[in-house]
Amino acid sequence: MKRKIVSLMLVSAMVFGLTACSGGGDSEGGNSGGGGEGEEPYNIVMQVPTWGQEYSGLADVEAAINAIIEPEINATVTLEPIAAWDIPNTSTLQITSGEKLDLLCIESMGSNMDSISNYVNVNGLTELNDIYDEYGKDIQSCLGNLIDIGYMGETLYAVPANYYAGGGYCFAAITSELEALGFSFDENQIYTLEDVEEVLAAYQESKGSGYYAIAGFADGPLVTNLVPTDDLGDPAIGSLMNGGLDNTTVVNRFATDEYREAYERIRGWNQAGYINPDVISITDTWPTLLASGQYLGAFMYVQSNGLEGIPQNEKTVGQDLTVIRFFPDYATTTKAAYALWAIPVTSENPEKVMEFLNILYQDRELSENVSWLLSAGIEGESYEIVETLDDGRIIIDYPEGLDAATVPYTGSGPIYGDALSAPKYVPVDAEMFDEIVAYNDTSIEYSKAFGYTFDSSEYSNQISAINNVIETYGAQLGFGMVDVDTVLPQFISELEAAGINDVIAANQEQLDAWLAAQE
Amino acid sequence: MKTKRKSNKIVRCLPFYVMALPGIAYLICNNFMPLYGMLLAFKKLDVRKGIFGSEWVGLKNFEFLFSSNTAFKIIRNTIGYNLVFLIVGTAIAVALAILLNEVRLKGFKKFYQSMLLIPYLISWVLASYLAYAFLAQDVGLINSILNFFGLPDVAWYTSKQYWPVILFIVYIWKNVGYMLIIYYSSIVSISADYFEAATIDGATKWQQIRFITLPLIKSTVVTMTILMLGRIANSDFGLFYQIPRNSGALYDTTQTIDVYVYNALMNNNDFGMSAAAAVFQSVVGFIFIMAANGVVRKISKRDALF
Repeated sequence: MKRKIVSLMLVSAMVFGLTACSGGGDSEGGNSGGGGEGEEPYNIVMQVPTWGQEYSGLADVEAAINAIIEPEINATVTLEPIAAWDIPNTSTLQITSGEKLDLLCIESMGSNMDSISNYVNVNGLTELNDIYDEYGKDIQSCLGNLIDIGYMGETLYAVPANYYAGGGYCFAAITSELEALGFSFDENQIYTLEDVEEVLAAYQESKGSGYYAIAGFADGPLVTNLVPTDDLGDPAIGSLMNGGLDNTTVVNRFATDEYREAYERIRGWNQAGYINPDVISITDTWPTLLASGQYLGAFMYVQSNGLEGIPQNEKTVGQDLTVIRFFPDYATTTKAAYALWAIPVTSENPEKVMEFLNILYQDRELSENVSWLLSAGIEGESYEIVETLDDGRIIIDYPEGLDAATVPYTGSGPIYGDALSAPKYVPVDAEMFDEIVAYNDTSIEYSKAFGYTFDSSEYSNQISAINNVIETYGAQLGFGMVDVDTVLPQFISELEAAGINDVIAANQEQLDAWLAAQE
Repeated sequence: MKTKRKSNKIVRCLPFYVMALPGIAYLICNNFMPLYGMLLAFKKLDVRKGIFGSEWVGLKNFEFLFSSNTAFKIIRNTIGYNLVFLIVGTAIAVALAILLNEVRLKGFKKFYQSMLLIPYLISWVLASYLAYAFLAQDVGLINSILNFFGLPDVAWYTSKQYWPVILFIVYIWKNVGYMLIIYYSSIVSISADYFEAATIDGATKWQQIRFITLPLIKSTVVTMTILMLGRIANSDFGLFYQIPRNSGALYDTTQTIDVYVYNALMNNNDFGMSAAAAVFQSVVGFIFIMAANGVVRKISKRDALF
């Protein structure tokens, strides 16, 4: 409470400072924040998620950013590298113990790897509504309705990076294998699962045992990639079928006809030998599996249907891939949440932090573009420019002799500010780049519940139990290891015993209220 | 008179207390100071108010352990496996210690002991890959052998009925080398005079083991058993999580409290619930330790811990 009062006082002081400033007709370039001459710059401690690697060039990037922002908003940043998978636990401990942290990266990766509710449940995030209106003008114009996913109820807790709001489901297959079998697919067309099934059968027939048409790995039962749903944020209990494009009825997806049909289809594939019997215990990712030459392709969900991801993965596989789509691209809260930035309650100057965040979303020259520095490092050291487009966007490549693993610095994904316009690595070309930037407006349908997140804090006991049941049965059924007719009813009855229907009813109630408030 | 004797005793023991000081300091810092964290088990953490200021919620955090019908299963698995490990594991360790003691050639003795100890030093992640090399359905060693004899494959990672045996074998393979060190050292410390006297009296090897070795290491066994009972509600996370590769199909026979809590908390990151689970395990362990010690004290007072 005390902290709240203090921050309220800070806000009001800031507002006063501003009015005084504009009243005096000061010439200081309209830089808000009350940071007059001689005042100590505020130090913003910002998380820089990594995949476990260390950056030798991190200090240079930090210095380059400070050279830009210190004169502008009288603040400096300290970049704090942290492995993405450590963020949920480490951050909560940091906030609890009062360790300095001003910008927290909630890296959900479109799959609930982390979520706003993790921090809201312990009351750990600053409410951003007011300072977002005040200092986040450029964020607002950049994000449009993508900002909705940062809300929980009426409160704004986090600002998402501007990235794809969704994507689609596809079967990505090795092109040369498809050609050898006499198939060709148009990447822009929507096919049916039966079309894919023909390819699987042909591959299996020509190759025989020891080869598998479908590469799958333990973290994702196949079924989730065959039935498009909107899982309504974390914890993904209660879904809208058909991606939420045409209905707002929350259902238990495991008990639907669509799931049953998919389970039976997968069971058939398993019995026909398309799936490696060890699939449950394989921990390699699909590109690694495809590179082994034992597989034809993999079912997957890809952001923006692979505009960026597929070319990158082709490098790992070592061959061209063909994307066979079987559902139009769509957007949901879960899938749009790739990375969100939040300000912990322990931050002493949230206004300043929001000002800094705003800079990341501004359209800027290369020489003073902070978000590009964070995404790709320093020009000449971490990348070379291959092509500069008319509006200043750049296509880049790693310097001679270096790659993603050996450059002094490279951002660990599209997570900083306006990530859609951030520098893109070859083989992305100008045409693809335009497609990427326009993607959210042109190529995607939005779920009716886009922006809604289920607040599950009252149901944590049931959710632990339900998740345990899903863990028990999800993979067996989802990879077709067991007979559907005997195991599926057992699965559903255990889900119901764990209380899934109560959770879904609460979810529906919240969704109805949210939909009513949207009108 | 009495007080004088008491103060004498303290003076006499003073050097020992001083020697124990670093250990006591460690215990206080490491084991007693963090105890206030147990408060979290009864609170809903609110980082703005801190641990002490957070709201009390009574036993609500414990509900998730007992509200589901998995509760019985995970508690049964945890305590069941621990009891088997405790009884059979100790028997095997003692037997191996006695056998090791009978090995006469020094070089061989060292060799066997090292071989038995090596698995204990291997990490569970590595051990899980070793187990996978045996159990993989497609390329695993055991299925290859089965195929060689014309038997069909077994899908080990989805057949829960085999896992009690698999887990037991892996546990023994990994831990017996360490357990036997303690028993072996207490066997070695038995004076050779007893055995010589027995040999002269014409006692067989078996009689020597039965009437000399076993009675003399009894108190070590009792102490070790009581100590292990204190951890009866805890399970070796590596064994139960890594070895079955967290395969959901095996949960009925492999999931223990620790694994359940880990999976639950990976999903919702709830500090209150994990604290509650830890408190529950400590309380169960405490009850078992007190009860076991009480029973031992009744039967043979000098073997009891306290």
